[in-house]
Amino acid sequence: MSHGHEIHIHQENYLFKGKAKTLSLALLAIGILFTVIGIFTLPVTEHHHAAPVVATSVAEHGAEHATEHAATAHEYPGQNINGVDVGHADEQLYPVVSEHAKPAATRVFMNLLLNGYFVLLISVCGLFFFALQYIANAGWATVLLRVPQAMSTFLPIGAIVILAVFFIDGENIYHWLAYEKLHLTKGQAGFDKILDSKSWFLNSKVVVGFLIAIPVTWILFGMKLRSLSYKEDAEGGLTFFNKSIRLGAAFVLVFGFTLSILSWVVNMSVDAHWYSTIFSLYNFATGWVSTIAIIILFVLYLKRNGYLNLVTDEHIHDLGKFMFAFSIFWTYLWFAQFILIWYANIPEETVYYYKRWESPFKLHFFLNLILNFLIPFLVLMTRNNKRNPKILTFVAIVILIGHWNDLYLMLMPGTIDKQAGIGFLEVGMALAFAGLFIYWVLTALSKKGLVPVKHPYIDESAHHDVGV
Amino acid sequence: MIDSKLFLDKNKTVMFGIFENPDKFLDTVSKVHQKGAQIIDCYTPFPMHGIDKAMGLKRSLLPIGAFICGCLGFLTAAALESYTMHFDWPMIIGNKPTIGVSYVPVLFETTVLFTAFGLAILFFTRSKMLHGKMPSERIDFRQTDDRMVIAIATDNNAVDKNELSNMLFSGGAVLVKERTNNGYEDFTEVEIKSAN
Repeated sequence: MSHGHEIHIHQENYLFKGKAKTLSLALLAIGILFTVIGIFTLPVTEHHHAAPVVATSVAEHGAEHATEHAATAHEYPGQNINGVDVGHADEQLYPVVSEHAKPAATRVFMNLLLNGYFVLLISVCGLFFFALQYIANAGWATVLLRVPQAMSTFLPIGAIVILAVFFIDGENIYHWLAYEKLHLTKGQAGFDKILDSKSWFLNSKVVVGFLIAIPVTWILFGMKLRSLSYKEDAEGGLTFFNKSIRLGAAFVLVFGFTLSILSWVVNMSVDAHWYSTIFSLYNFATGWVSTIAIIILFVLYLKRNGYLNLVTDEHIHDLGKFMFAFSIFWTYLWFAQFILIWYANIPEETVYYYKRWESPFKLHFFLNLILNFLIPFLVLMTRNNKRNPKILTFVAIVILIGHWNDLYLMLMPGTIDKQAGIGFLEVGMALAFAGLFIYWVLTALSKKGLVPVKHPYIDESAHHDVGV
Repeated sequence: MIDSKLFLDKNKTVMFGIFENPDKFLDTVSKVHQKGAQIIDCYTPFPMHGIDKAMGLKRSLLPIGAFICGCLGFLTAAALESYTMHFDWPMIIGNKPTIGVSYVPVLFETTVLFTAFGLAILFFTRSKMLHGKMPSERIDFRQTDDRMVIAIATDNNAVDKNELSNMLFSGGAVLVKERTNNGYEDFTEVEIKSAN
């Protein structure tokens, strides 16, 4: 019980050296080594095309009722989805970008995109966590606020990686981009009604604009919010706190819209014919629960090494509850998207899950539910497990692997499909990003004090007690 | 767990400390508990954070109750759905299996419903606060307004009575009373003057 005695608030300065530094750099080095091995052992594809070729063998009279028939009809000729016949090979009414093999290098860029998007989600959700504490007037997390604050410094890396991938290999990844380059008009062979109707939004100018403007907005918000917090350390007073509340509220508003747009242009548009209205929220859930998992890992690491002395079991317990709750929140959204599509069984929607149900991805599909729902749900259900650092570490790592797998399942089937797989490349790239992320965040933590000593809620947070 | 029967037993002697300051109250409760005296219960007009730890209470069994209620809800929904949709008369909707994923929303909602209602009923039953229940006894006129009361069993001589009353007064009690064992109907209340 924390009642009845004074807790002295001391500033702590984290020294980033020794084992942590070596390990994070080793992780980065091993990751890069594995990636290089992965690149050299990539299976060489038979057909090399700079850009995917649009199928031109389309029955011209069929182009009119193209929208009635889903992409399914073309991509899975003669297949039977849940007992409903979705089409035959001789009814190729729907012109889509052909299923020709992508260049082997696309797999490398897809991995860059996956990890870049993952770290971008994590770092912006870190900033969201930080801003949320201000606008909710929440005191409990104040003692560990510097962790999500440091995580938000990683924003530029993810943004640059995504943008670079878009410029270098965008045409192989986004089939709407390849389609745009063909400049087809109505009546021409290969004209795609759906892509054409979406082109006012899904075109390279708008998307590049978003890919630059959105992360830049986040970075600016992050810089301002962080500088307010550091100034507060030096000067104290309520000015910075009140400013942070206003700025945090503005950020949360902007964040809601911009994260949605980013999830559409980066992630959902790999299946440009398909859409889901809950997709952006689903992406947020993925990022948010991973962010909580990473905050837990950093806090436990710092605590084990004698830092963050103000963080008690009570804070860890609350973080554990967050992780438990948002694992279920993620499952809720996953299921909300899945069941409507499964039940309605409309071919142009079902195609999304049909692809993910097939052989290379079926394992990932079930792994997704086991890692992201079953394990956190069953393991974190009891109170004692939420207060146990070892169990929390285990579950946090499981969740991070699970959500990497989640993004893998979102991105790969719509792009490189059968060429995807888990090998040296995937493991190496993920390890390299993890190493870089750890190195970057710990460096950011070591630059400033670990405790927001003059935060108005620091005393409340130090006395935090969950009551059970 | 505090023995709730002890308080109702009028043959026991009980000492009451009445407080006005919640912080001092919490500190004193903690001290009395550490001293080894048997605390029967504490009565506060509002929920007080950390008082269960100060009194040395064990953790509530409510979470286990919640789990059981949830399981009950899950099983109820499973039974209802499988009977109506599969066993009684198979309902084939949209060529979907009659037992399967389509059960999940109702399973989820019923689990939540049973947990919420079951937990509320369990809680109110356990704290003797069910609808229509009148408070059995009032120790201090202002105990439901702004005063906190601690009830300590004194017949087991775990702690000397004078020491205990001194402890309560020095901890900030405005009043200390003792109830002695003169039968159920007419027990006497002895008001103990401050040690100073």
